[in-house]
Amino acid sequence: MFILTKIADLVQIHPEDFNKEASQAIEDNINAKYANKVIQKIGLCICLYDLLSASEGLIGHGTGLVNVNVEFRLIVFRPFKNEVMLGRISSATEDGIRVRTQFFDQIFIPFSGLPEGSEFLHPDQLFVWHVPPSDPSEPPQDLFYDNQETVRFRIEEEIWTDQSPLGPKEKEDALGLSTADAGKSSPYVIRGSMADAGLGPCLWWDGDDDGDGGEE
Amino acid sequence: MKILESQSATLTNYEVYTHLMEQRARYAKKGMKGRRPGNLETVVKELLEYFQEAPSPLGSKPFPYNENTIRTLFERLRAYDFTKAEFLMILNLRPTKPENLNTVVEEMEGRFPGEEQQLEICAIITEVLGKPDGEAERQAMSENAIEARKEIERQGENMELDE
Repeated sequence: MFILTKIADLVQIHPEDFNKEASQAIEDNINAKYANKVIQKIGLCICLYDLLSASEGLIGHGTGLVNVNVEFRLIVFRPFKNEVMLGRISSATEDGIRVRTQFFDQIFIPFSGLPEGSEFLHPDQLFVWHVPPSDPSEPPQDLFYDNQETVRFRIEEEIWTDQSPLGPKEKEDALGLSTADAGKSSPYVIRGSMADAGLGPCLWWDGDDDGDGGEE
Repeated sequence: MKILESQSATLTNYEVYTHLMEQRARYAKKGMKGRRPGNLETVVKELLEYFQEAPSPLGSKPFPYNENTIRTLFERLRAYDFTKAEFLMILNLRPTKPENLNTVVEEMEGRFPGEEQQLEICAIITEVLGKPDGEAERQAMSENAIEARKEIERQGENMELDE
């Protein structure tokens, strides 16, 4: 789920931070800039992992800022394709199920990523999986994708949306397209699937754990 | 900003968890003198909540990891020829039953045919990482779900009152 990314950047330490230790001031500066932010094609930055090198501090003319060139590594949330993760169902629409984790909520399981025999129940606004019975004479068993249920899902695809502001010219070009949509979309969206055995609400699969567990 | 290397290493959840806990302890020792940036505070708090929520192994007791766990598990599972990604998921998710192992191992039936071999792998994982307390985890998951639903209901009521 997590990777380290090596970055070089210029850190500017403000005079009010001069009472801090230099390493602490640099760390705070980096964390303030990167923590909980998405870098395109890199992932969601969590925090500084380690500082690899820092130049001498140079004081800028007129500003009093100390400029330091640093190289460091960041912890970044970037699950790889086919990785299995835990999350919770936050809501469902006809198109699929939205899943979130405490720190990242842009996860979407499209209808095509649900197991065969799934159906959306309009009155309840949730999905149900009609499990085909092993004995054809019995009626299918219904399993519900209840909201807030803890689920396992597999990462299928990531969608990046660059949110850097457009110049006036580009804006005009884009105006023909749906600008409202562009404004709403998140910089980093994960699409997943729950169509495999063992995926979906954990309670389904971990349910008879104790029954088996006794033997081991 | 210049990206020198977009992915210089992969970390397990345990390593990230340890880093965050150490960072927290370090800040606590220094007192509130240098306050942490708000965005860092938020993401760290949320991430720790995520790590400690059932059925994550990081939230189970006794704590299943220590600094030798990764090495030990790697050596014990070497014979089975797991890919790096599979090994990472085994460490993060602790599959102790063939049904759970199936999700993290690609084409398990082809590579490890027969239940015996699959149970063998699960036994090794259980030995190194411990066994999840299924009953407690299920209960925690149900409680979490009920709690969250109530929370949403409460918010809904409040909004109605506001209107």
